[in-house]
Amino acid sequence: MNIRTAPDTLARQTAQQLEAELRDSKLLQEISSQLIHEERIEALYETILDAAVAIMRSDFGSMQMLYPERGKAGELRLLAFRGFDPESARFWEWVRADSGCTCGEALRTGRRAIAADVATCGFMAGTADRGALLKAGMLAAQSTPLISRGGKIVGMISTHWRAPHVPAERDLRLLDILARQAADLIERRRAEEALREADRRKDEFIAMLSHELRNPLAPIRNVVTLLKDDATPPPVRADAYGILERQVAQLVRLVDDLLDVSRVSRGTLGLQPCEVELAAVVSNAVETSRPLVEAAGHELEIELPREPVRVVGDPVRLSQVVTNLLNNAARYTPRGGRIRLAVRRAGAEAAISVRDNGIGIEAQALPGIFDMFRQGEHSRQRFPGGLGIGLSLARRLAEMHGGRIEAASAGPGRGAEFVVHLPAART
Amino acid sequence: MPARLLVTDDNSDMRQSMRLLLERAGYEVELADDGLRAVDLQRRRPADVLITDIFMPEADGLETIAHFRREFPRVRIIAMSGGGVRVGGAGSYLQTAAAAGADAVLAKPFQTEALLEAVRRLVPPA
Repeated sequence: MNIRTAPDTLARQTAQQLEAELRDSKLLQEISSQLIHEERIEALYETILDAAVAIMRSDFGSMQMLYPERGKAGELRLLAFRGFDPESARFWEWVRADSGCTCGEALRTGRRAIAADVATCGFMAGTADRGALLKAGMLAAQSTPLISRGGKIVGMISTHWRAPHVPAERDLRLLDILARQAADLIERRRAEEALREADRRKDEFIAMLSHELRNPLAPIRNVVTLLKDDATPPPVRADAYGILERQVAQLVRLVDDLLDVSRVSRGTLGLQPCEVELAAVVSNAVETSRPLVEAAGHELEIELPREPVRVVGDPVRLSQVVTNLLNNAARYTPRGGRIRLAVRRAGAEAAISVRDNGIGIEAQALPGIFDMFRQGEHSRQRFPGGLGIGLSLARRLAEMHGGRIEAASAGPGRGAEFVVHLPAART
Repeated sequence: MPARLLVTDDNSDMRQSMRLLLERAGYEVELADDGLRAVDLQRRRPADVLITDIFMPEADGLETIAHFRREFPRVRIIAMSGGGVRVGGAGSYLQTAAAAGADAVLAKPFQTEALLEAVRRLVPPA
């Protein structure tokens, strides 16, 4: 050890290190204050990404958000980038977990992935990503998962270098601080997007509700005028009473549905369970749905097993579940379609399935099909009537019975199938 | 000869109630359950007034009004709707219907007298 030169070098090194620490802590402090004051989330991604590139002393950087509902294990979408050429930005716009880049590896393992040398990196060998990285001049890369407070991956922050590079421990620790802030931001954005979407759907629902409530009132007013007139002949009066009865029943249905929605969302909907046979549940539901099914000229086929299938539940509410599925099938099937209702027992479960050959459901719409007020504007235009709450109520009611509902469709124009699974009563 | 009215609405009870009411008022009434059938009927048995709903499954009311304006320019048109403000658009459906060429608009549920008055104004009693 050289005693004479050491204090000098040490002092210089310490001064440099202090300077770097000071610069980085100032950077982090600036970001914290921006995070508090800046309203636009997009601007904040940019700020955090700039800070990450500065802290890691990298030549490139990117931030991605995870869309967990896409693909098998979710896909990362590019939110912001530094130094990427347009071709690279396109190539990595969406990244899957089976991708060969560091972000794919980090998504697979849930931990930070480092490729100190892209050319020799094991998990990149033979992948298209390796070629794309080399072509873009990215010879080293690291990806750090953005982990939410709930412990889930919500995105990724990555930095890349023009030369092979091993990131310093200290830099990575600072990056982790940034990653936590970025994760909070993405969660905030998610929450805001969800709120906006819920708000939009509620607006649509109210517009639809006012339309649906007014619709039966118009014929009711017309026939009331006729019935008030003593000169109206008996056959016309009879027709008028029929119209009155049906349209009032329609209004009652709408109001009942609305009340149920409000009871379900406040958790005040009570069940009166007893042991019921599903054949009786189905028969009640069919009676209720018959007018709608027949008005649309559909053929309804019912298949019941030879042995009775019993469950413990509220017969009125269980019928409502089946009615809602039948009405849904009748509404979203073009005139003269086929609806098939089947009851079966599978082990400890009873299942009621309703299948139609109607307009079907797009794959991307399937996960949200049971959401309240979910009714595509398109489907609403072609198939008016109903509030878009039937499936949502059906699911909640099935869940309250300890069961579940599944929806399946081979795609648009290829029909749909809904299956209710309920715990079977012990025989 | 009584004036002929063509009522187009996807709700069958609404159609029937309009027929009962307007026949009692002395008109001849034809019914169609959507815009395409209305056009088809009009070609075969021309009416003097089209009374159409706005929201309908096939060929909605606004399209139907536009079609009638092109193919049957002399037919008078009454638009009726229970819809509120158009989502993402400007103004109400009824305003849009008036702009598309409807001679009168009725917000559902209308007073029956308002309907009869609108019809009388468009086809004065002989």
